Amino acid sequence: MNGIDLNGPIGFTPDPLAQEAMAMQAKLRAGLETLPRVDDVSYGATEKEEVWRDGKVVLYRFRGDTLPGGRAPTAKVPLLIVYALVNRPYMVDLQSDKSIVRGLLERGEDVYVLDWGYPDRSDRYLELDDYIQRWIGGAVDHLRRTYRMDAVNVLGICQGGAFSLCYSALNPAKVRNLITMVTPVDFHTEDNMLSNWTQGLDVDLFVDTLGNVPADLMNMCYLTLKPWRLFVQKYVGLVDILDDKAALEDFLRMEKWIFDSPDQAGEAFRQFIKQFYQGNGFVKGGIDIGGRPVDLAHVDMPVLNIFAQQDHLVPPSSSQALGGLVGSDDYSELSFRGGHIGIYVSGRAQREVPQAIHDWLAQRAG
Amino acid sequence: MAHQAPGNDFEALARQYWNQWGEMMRGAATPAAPSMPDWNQAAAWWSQMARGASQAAEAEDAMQRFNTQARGWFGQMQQLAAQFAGRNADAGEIARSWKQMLGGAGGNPFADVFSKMGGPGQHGFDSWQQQARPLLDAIQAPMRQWSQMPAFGFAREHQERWQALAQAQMDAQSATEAYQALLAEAGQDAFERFESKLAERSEPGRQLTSARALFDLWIDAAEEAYAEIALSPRFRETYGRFVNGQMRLRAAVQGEVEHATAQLGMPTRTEIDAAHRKIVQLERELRRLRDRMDDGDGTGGRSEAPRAGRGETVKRAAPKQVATSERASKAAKPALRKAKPAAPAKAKAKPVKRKGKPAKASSPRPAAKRAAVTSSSAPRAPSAPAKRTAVRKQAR
Repeated sequence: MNGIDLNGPIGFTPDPLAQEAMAMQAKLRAGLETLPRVDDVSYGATEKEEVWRDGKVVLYRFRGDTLPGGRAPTAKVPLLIVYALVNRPYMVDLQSDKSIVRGLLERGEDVYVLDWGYPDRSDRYLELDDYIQRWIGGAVDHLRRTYRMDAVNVLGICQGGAFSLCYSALNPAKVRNLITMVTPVDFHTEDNMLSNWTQGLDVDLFVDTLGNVPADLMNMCYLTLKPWRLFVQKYVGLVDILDDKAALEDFLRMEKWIFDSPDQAGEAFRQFIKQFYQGNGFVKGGIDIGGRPVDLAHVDMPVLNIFAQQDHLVPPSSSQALGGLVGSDDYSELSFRGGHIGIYVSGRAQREVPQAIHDWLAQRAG
Repeated sequence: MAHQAPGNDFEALARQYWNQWGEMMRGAATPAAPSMPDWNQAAAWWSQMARGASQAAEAEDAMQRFNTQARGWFGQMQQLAAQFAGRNADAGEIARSWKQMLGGAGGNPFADVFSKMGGPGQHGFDSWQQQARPLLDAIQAPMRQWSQMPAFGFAREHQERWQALAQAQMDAQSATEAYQALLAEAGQDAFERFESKLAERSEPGRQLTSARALFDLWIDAAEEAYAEIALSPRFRETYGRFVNGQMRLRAAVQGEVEHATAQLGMPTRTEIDAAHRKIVQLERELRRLRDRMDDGDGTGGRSEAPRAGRGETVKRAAPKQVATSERASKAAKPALRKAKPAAPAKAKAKPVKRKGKPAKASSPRPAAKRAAVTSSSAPRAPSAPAKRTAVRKQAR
C-alpha cells in the first residue's frame, strides 16, 4: 500500500484509487468504439417452425436437424415447453451458447414451445381456463394427434410450471412425464417477497382499474425485489464489459428479454393472484379452472422438479413443496446451483440442465 | 455532431483527469480531504456521446439506465473512497460520512433509486401521478369547494362523485407517505448495516481494496436492509395500501374522463370493455358447442381420445420419429441418484432427489410408476385408475 500501513476498512491509498478510476475511464473510452459495432441484438438461436395456432397463441417445433451435425430427434415422445406469461419464451433459446432447447435437441429430444403472444385490450377477459385448457390443451391434443399417442411430455417453466401442474392434474392421462422448472407451488413460504406484497393487494380493484396489467408495472415490481442490485449495481458492472463486443451483446440480449414483457390479460391475472398468490391453492385447495377443481394428488405421472438454490423470484422452498403434494410415486428433484435466470443461461445450466432432463426422460422412455 | 470525433474529446478529458488525479495525489498527505476528479461529469459526458452510437435499441436503453442510476451512485461512492483513501478512518467515520452524503437522518436513498426507475413513456406509479397531475390540479379547486358540503339537489350525484375523488386523492397521498416512510426506514437501517460490514472488513487481510469493493459493500447492506422490511407484515400492509390507494384514485380519475368524453359522444373504455367481454363469452360458448359436436358424446371437449380439435394445424409433413437404440444406451447411465424422501428446506447437497423406486433404464415404463398404477398403497392419493376415473367423471 505504497508503504503506508493502514488500519480500518479502507485498505487503499489514492494511487490505486486513481488507477481504478482510470481503468474505468479506459473502459468507457473503449465503449465508444465497441458500441457502434454492436448490431441489433438477435435472439432465438434455433430454427423453429409453426405447427399449430389458436388466436395469438402459436406452437412451434424446434428444428434439431438444422443444427451443426443436426439430426432428426431420437426421442419418441415430444416434449412441450410451457413458459410463463410474464416474459417471452425465447429465454429457453436465447443464443446458441445459452440455449436449453439446443441442449435438449442435441441429445435427441423432440422439442416444442408454446408462444403466448402479446395480449391486447381485446384479451382482457381471457381466463386461466383459456390458457390452461384451451391453449395448453390444444397444443397437447395437437401433438397427441400428430404422434398418434395418448400422452406427451411437458416441461413447465415458472408460471408455466404452475399452469402445467394444473393441466396435468386436470388431464393426467394426456401427460406422460412432467418436468417443472423454477415453479412456484407453495406461495406462502416466509421467504417469498413477491407473495408478501400481493397479500394486501385488492386485485379486483387493481384489474378493474387497469384492465390488462401493463408490462411496465410488472417489470417495476420485479426490479423492486432487489432494487440496488438490479437497477444500480448491474449498470455499474456494465462498464466492465464495454470493451468486449460479445459480452456487451450478451448483456443487451438479456436486457431485451427482461424488458420485452407482454401485458397481462386482466382476468387471468386476477385469477392467478387470487387463487395462487393469495389463496395458495396448490397447498390449501381452491384452484378452479373453468369450473373444475385442481388437486395435485391427481398428478400421478412421473415428475421431475427442478429448482434454483438462489432463486429470488421463486424460492426453493416454494418449489420443493411439490414433493409432498403430487400423487405420483415417481417424484424427483434437481437442485440447481444458481438463480432464476441463471438456470436458463449460465454455463453451468447448459452443462447440467438439458442432460439431467434428457437422462430423466430416457429412464422413462418406452 | 458529437459522435464525429469521440476519441479526441475523450482523450482530452482523460488528460484533464490525469491532471486532477495528480493534484489529488499530491494533496493526499495533507489533512484536508483531496478533491476527487468528477466521475459524474465524465460519465454523463460519455453517456451523451454513447447515445446513438449503437444501432441496437437495447444499447440505448442500457445507456439510459446507466446514466440515470449507476453513474450518480458510483460517482458518490468514488467521492467517499477518495475522502478516506490512505487514511486510518474507522467504520463509523466512513458510514457517517456516507450517510451525510445521502442526506443524513432525513435521507431516503431507496426513494431516490425508485424515483428514477421510470423513464419516458413508461407505465409506473410515479409516472402516472405526473401524467395525471394537470387534471388533478384542474379539478382540485371545485373539489375543495365541495368536499365538505352535503350533497343534494340536481348536482347531487356529481358532487358525490367529486367528493369521492377528493377523498381518493387524500388517501393515496397518505398511503404514499406511509410507503415512503418505510423506505426511509430501510435506508437508515442500511446505513447501520453498512457500518457493521465496514467494521467486519477492518481486520488485516479483509480490508477493502477499491472503490468498487466499497460500493459493493453498500449494495449488500442496502439489499439486506430492504429485504428485511420488504418481507415484513408491515410492508405487506403498507404496500397494499399504497397500491390500492393509487388504484382508487386512478379509477376515480378514469371515471371523470369517461364522464367528460361521454358528453362529447365519444365511446368510453367501459363500453369497449363490455364489447370485449361479450366477444370473449361468445367465443368461449362457440368453442364449447364446437367441441361437443366434434366429440359427439357430450363430454364438452374433454374426451381422453385424440380428436380433431381446436386451433389451426399448419400443414406439414409428419414429424420424423426415429426410434433408435441410442436413447436406450444413454439411459443405461442414469444421471439421477436415489435419494431419501424430500426434506424441503434442507435439500442441497445432492443434486437430484427422488421418492419412490428409481426406474431401470431398460424398463419401458418406470417400475415405480407401474406399481402406482396397480397398487392401492400409493401415498396421499387414490390409486391411479381410480383417480383417472374420478377426473373423467368431473369432466362430464
